[in-house]
Amino acid sequence: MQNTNQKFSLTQFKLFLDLAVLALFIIVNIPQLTGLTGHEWVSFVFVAPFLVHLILNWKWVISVFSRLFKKLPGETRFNQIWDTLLFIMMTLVIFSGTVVSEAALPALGIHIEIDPFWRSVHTGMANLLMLMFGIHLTLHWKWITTNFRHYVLKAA
Amino acid sequence: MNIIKEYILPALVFILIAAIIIFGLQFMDQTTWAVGVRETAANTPPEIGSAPATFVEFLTSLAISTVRMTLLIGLPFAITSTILKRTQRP
Repeated sequence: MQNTNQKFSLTQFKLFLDLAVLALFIIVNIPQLTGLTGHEWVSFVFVAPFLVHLILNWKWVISVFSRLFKKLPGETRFNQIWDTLLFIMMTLVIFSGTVVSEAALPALGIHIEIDPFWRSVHTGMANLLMLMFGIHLTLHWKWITTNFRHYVLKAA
Repeated sequence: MNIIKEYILPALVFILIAAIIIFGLQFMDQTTWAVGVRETAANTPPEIGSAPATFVEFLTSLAISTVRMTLLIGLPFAITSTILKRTQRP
């Protein structure tokens, strides 16, 4: 019984974390509205819940990658490839965004000479990441809506 | 022990993989492709400036952001959702 409660609370935590990640992702991707400084600081904040999101799905990552060369259901295989690409893209966008930081890093006393190449890569890849994120969201939409109904709408 | 196995170890693994990817990415800016991109980007003004200062600027930014979000997240979401519904129909 205690184990079931723990599982439920973990699902609940995952749901709220995912909603926070979604909200932060949207805020990060509206730099026209937040301005460059806001965009950079929110982006740095975003890294923490994003990492927690990955850690909480560690068991799924292990279970799927331990069957890398074995037969997997089509949807699981697609998720595996898509999430891997998403992780690589996210790493690329975070890295390129960090090295072109004009406000947050200088405020922390770190001054990097900005390379226009990384700025261009950051802009292009961030747009591509948003497209990929839309598809990632669809693939997990059922889980989000089911748990949102259960934990938010029913509880209210 | 569980905390290390379930949380710290995965975090370290993800950070390590990210570090390897970043290490590989650093070589990107030495390619001939990067030279071309750098030349084009040097002549292009940055897209993002400071936050909107007036209400009109705010509304304009809000409109731009809404269109961007709709096209870049909403559209792939809607298309994939439709495809999934059609392919998973019993």
